[in-house]
Amino acid sequence: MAKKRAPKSSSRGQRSKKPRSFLKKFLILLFKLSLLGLVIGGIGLIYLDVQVTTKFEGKRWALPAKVYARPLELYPGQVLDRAAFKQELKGLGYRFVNQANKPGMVEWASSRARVYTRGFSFPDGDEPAKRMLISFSGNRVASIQGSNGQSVPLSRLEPILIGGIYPQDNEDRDLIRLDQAPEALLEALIQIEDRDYYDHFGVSPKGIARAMWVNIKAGRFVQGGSTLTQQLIKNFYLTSERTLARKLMEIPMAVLLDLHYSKEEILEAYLNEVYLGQAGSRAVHGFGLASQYYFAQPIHELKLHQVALLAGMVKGPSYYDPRRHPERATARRNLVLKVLQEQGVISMKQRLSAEKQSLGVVKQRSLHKGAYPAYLDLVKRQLREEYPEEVLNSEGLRVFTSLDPMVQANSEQALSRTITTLQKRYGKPVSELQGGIVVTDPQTGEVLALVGGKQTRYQGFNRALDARRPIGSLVKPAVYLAGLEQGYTLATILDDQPISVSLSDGSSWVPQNFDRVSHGKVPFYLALAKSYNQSTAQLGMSVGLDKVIDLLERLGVERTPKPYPSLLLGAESMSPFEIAKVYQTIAANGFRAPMRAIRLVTDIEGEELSRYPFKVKQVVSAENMHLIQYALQAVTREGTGRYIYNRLPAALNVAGKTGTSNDQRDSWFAGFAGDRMAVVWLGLDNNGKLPFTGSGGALRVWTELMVKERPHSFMATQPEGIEYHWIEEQTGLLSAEQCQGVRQLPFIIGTAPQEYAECADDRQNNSLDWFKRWFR
Amino acid sequence: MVQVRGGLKAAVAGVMFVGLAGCVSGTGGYRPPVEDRTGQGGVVQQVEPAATGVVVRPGVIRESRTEQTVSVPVPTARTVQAQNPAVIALLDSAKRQKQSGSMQSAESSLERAQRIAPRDPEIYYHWADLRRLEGRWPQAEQLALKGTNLAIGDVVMLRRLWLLIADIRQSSGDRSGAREARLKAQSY
Repeated sequence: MAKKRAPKSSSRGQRSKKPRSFLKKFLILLFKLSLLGLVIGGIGLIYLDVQVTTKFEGKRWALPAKVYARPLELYPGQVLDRAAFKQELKGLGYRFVNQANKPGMVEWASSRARVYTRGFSFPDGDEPAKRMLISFSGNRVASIQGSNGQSVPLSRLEPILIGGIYPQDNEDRDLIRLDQAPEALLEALIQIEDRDYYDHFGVSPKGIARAMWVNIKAGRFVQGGSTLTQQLIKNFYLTSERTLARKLMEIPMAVLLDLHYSKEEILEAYLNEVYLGQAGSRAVHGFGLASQYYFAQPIHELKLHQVALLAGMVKGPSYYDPRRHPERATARRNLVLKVLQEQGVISMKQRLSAEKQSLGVVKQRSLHKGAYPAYLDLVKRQLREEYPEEVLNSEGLRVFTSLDPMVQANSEQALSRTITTLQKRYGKPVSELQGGIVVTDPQTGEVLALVGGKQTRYQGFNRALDARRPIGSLVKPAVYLAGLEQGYTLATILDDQPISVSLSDGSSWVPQNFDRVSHGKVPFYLALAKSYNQSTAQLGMSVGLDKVIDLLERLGVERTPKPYPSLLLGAESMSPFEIAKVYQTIAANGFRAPMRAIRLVTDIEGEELSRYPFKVKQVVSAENMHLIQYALQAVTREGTGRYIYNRLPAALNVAGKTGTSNDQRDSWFAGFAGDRMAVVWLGLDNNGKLPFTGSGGALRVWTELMVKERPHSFMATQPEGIEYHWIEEQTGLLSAEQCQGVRQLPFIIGTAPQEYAECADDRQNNSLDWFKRWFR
Repeated sequence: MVQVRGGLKAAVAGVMFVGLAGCVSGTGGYRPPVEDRTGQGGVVQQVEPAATGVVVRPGVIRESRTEQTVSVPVPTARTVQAQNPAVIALLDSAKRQKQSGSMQSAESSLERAQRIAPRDPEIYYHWADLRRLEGRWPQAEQLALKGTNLAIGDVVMLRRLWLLIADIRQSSGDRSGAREARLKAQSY
């Protein structure tokens, strides 16, 4: 500019000398200024260059930790509900086809399924992709055959991704490599967004000119003319504000980026950076994640019509959102297909067949990612004890949990269905009824499912972990165990009589039975089965509060309860998760094991970082455990939990305990079968009164869950130190099988009553006579 | 399982026989549930007087006329169950991995096996042995004890487990404990 002006000024300058010297000064100044400008510009460029290269070469993205459900193990003999198996495959985005000839496909028939797994790199070894024929017989896997007919003893599917731990900006992405992206996706992006991509130097004058021409023709702003490189710069380096400075930086940075890196590297970064939608508060970035978010499939398995949709969405992910605006999305997809065909990338036949396809987007509700906020909450709490937040949300850790989506689905359904039934029956007082469930495997201690409330997808108050409520009669097994350890037997006769305990503040504690009736003399096991309060209070006071507290702590209670007499009837508040630890230990025959939600954490490369191993400690003797398990089975067979056998087969042994807090504000049930332990709480968040007890509410949820789960039967094994005797129930004395009002009860050897009941005395003599006659 | 079911069947048959014979006895206290296998599998059910829950009508109601049914099943001698091929495969891997010193992999194999057959004492035997090799005595002993709890009735397994416990105690310096365990092993 200065040069052009110079001749003009000089022609004017001929008139006088003074202006000439001014001009000279001006020129020198201008020269200096431009020199300065050059230097500043140069420094600026160097600065930009450093910016461009450091960010591109360093860790480009904060990668959220990925949290996985348990992988589904497959082996002959396994109990596997076929409908649930189908759900699992759908959750993993398997396509149901006539011929499964690629990973991620299934052929589904009535009694067999051919599954072509994708394979997965587990921390303990790679599970290769393989084709298997799984034959069912009833609800069992009868056999598994590999591709050449050999029998497969054990295999596992990929684990379902259930969530992530996101950074502040809530950006989520699944990184992909360029070679994982379908060819059609790259072609479509280039044809739609930046036709000269492989020829320009970061910015495209041709593209800008073309965009301007389109804009002029249309009379409004239609095309931006930004190259893919510029779009990447915009998202990757610059803030989202639309300022002039930002716009000015964009071009030199794009040129610099293009200068430093290959087209392939830039394209790969673009594929992972681009914004493609919003999943609640989570921003979906990159095609890898978008493929999962819209199709629940890995990107390399996508078909032409799916790829075209994703490429088309770049222009406006919310405007073309296929879930909210399917017509717009379809039109956009078909436009992309049209361009691809016109440019000769695909044939007319391919275009027409792709256009005929439905959008094929999966329902957001069916996605497993983000579906388990309560369980994820537990996982995060455990992780945060060990890892700083920035490691969790940026290092791409892989977290393997024990969540079983099948058990979780059954638990959620059991809760919501039962709540609906109860609401229909009781109306307004329970219109806000809430609940929480914890399900574990008693032998491994793994947490299989966690329900935090009625709205299971809503990340709100996690009742399973945080609703601390009086546990009511759930405490009683600890009181009775303490009694057994002090020498009581199941046949000891307890006194269900009014009791009054003076408290330190001068008042007295006078517990009542639920039915306001004292039941007099009751055998020990029956007092627990029927959940009598007065006999329990009598027992607890004679055993000692310290003994009961000691037992609770051994069983797994971490916060030491206060030694108030009301503890004996469950005045102590606990969350479902806390009380689950106690029942977990009881279900595991007195071996306490930590309740684990996380199995293993690895870094992004699959290297093991931490493991949460199975640990056990025997805290109650096998013999006393056997006795209390007997009494807890009496609860479900004859006591307050009898409702169970209205719905479960009699051959299925289960054990447990109902609980109702004072004034009936909390409805509890904790119980177990052979391979499932579950604690259920029902109540109101405002702590209002309920129109039902533990057996009228929580027990129904528990039963519904077990009906769906079809668990293994609880099998009590008889420890060596245990013997069974016939006992007359009313007196607690030894009796005989033929007598009336008797039952077989287990005793620790040497603790059975010595005296015989009247009937048994006669019978014994008679039978002995008979016996003698036989051998005479 | 089969045996317990058999036991139940016998109990049910007994009850029905008594019922048919018209032997009516007093109903002092409560009525135990009785399985009915002739109909669609209903269970005799009394609604708890105090409970105000939903009244559910069982499919078939058969009055029980006796108090003598033992509703809580009495455990029967444990039958040693055949191991699942998947568990055998995993235990084989665990043994190999343990021998070659890759303890982490061995543990992963054992964990997988435990999830498939959590009541198989063999798994706890190998797990305890793994902990013994690592020198983690208390955990080794506890795992073996857990094994003995699940091996009740299986004398061969019990002997192996108690010998292992003896080894573990010996290694950790608990001589008298080791002696006890050895005696225990010899008792089988």
